[in-house]
Amino acid sequence: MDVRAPMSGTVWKVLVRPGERVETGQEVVILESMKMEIPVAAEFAGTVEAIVKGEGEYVDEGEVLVRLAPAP
Amino acid sequence: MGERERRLIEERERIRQGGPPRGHERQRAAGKLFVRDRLRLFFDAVETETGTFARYDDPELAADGVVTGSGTIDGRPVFFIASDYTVKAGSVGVRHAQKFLAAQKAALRARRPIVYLVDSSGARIDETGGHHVDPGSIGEFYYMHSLLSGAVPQIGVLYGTCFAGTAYTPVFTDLLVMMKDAAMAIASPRMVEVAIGQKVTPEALGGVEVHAKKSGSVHFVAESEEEAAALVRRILSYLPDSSDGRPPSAPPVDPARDPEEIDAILPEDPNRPYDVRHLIEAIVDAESFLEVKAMYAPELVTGFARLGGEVIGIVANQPAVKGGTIFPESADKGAEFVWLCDAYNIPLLYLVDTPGFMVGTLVEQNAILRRGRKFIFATASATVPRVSVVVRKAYGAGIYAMSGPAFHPDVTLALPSAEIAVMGPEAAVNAVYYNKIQAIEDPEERKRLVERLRAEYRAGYDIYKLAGELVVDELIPPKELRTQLMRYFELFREKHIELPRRKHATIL
Repeated sequence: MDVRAPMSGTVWKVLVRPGERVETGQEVVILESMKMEIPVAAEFAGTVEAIVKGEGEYVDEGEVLVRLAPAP
Repeated sequence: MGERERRLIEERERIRQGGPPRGHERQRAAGKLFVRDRLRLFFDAVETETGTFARYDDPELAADGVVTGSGTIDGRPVFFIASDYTVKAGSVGVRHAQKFLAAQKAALRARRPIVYLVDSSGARIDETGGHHVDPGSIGEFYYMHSLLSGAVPQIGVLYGTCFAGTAYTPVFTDLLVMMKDAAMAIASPRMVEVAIGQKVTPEALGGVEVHAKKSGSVHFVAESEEEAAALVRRILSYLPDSSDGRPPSAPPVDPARDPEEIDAILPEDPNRPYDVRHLIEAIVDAESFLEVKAMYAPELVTGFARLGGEVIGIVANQPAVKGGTIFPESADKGAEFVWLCDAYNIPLLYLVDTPGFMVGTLVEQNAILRRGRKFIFATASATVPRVSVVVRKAYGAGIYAMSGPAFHPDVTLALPSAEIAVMGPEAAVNAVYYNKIQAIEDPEERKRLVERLRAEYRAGYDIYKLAGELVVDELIPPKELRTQLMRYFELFREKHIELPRRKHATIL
C-alpha cells in the first residue's frame, strides 16, 4: 500500500506525518519536477506508516514516497 | 405471396435467429447481447445486408457468424461488420472472411464510414488450416484496414475476449470503444503459458486497465452495450463520411463556463497546477467536448469539440497532471490525434501550457526524442487550419509539438499569462551563469545574484516584449478567446496548402 512518484523529480513538501490518517484523493506529497509543483495524492484511504522519501530527496518515477497501512 | 417468395422469407428469418440455442445461452451468460439486438442500438434498422446465406449448407453456421450490411446514423448511411458470437463463438471461417472483406471494400468504394462490432474468438482453425495468409482470407483484413485508414472512418467496439488475429481489427480502427469486461491480446493466456511459461488472466493480460491506461490502444471505455452504441453515434457526429468531406455542423451553443472566468482559472503563480478542462469548458460549446484517450497519458488532453457549432480537435497540455510535461506516451497520443484530425479535415486548436518534454534517464530510454519527433512531425504535416494559443508556459521544444510560431499555424494567440522561453528562469540562470554563481562564497550574496539574474532573464521573455517583437501574432484578453477562435477558424475554413512533392515522409 504505497504512494509512488508519478514522475521523476525532487520531494518538495511532505504534507503528512507518520500515524496520520489520509483519505482517498488526499494530497500527501508535492514533488518538484520540471520546475512545476506536482501534487501526489493517495489512491486509497489509510494510515501513514512511513515517510520513505524526505524533502529534498530525488526520486525516480514509480519509487515509493509514503507507505500507507490500509484503513480497516 | 407465392410459395417461392414465402420460402425465401422463412429461410432468411431462420438465419436471422443466429446460432444454436447453446450459443445464445453462452452469450446471455456472458451478459452480452445477440448481434441483431446489438445492431438495434446503433441503427433504427438494418437497411441492407449481404451474405446472409453464407454457409447455407450448415444450419449451425447462420450467416457464417458475421452480419454485414448498412444502416443509418443521424441520417448518414454507415456500413457495419458485426460478429455473431452465438455462431461458433464468432470465429472467422472462410465465408465469414469473404463477407468481412467485401464489406470493407464496399465502404471504401462508397466512401462511407464503417463500424466494426468485434465479438470473435479468432480464426476458425479447423477450417482455415494454413490458408490464413491467402488473399481473400482473414490475412487480408489488415491489408484492407490499412488501405481504408484515413480514407473513411473506421470505428470499432470490442465486446468480448479477442486474441491473436482478430485482436488486430480493434487496433486498426481510428477510434475504439472497449467494453469494461472485454480483453484483447496478441496471444491468449493459454498460448502465453505454452510459449513463455507465464500464467496470467485475460484481464491482466489485455483488459481495460491494460489498454485504456497503459498501452493506450483503446480510446473509450463503455460500461454497457447501450453506452458503447451511444459513444459510436457520438463519435461519428464529429467525423465526415470520408477524407473528401467535412465534419457535419450543428447549431452553435454557449459554453458551459462563462469565458469571463478564464483569467481566474489560470493561476498567477506559473508553477501551480490547474485543470485545463476548465479552460476548455469556457471556450467550446457546452456539452460538446468528447475527450479521447482520457485515461492514457493524461498530461496531454486530446478530444473533439464544437466551437460555434463547427467541429474542432483540441490538443491541450494538462498542468494538473505531471505539470503538463510531455512524456513519450503523451507525444504518441498527441501525434496520433493530430494525424487523425488532419486525415478527416478537422481543424486543430492547441492550448499550450507545458514546461516542455520530460528529461532524465527513464524518458531517454523510452525514446523521448524519437517519439517526441512524431508529435512535432504530425503537427508540421497537418494541413488543416491550426490555431495555437499560448496559455501560460511554453518552454523548450514543447511549443514545437504544440504548433508554435515556427510551425506555420494560421495564427498564434497569447494570453497575458503567457511565457515563451527556451527554459524556465531557474534552469536558465543555472545553465548560463553556473561558474559565476559558484564562484561567490557568501550564500546571501550568491542568492542576491541569482535573484537578479532570474529577474533579468524573466524580463527577456515578458509577453508584452515578445508581442512587440511579433513572436506571437496577437496578445488577447482571456475573455475574448472564444470569439477570437471562432473568427479565426471561420477565416481559415477554406485554407488549402500543399506539402512538398514526395511519396511520403520517412517519419512514422
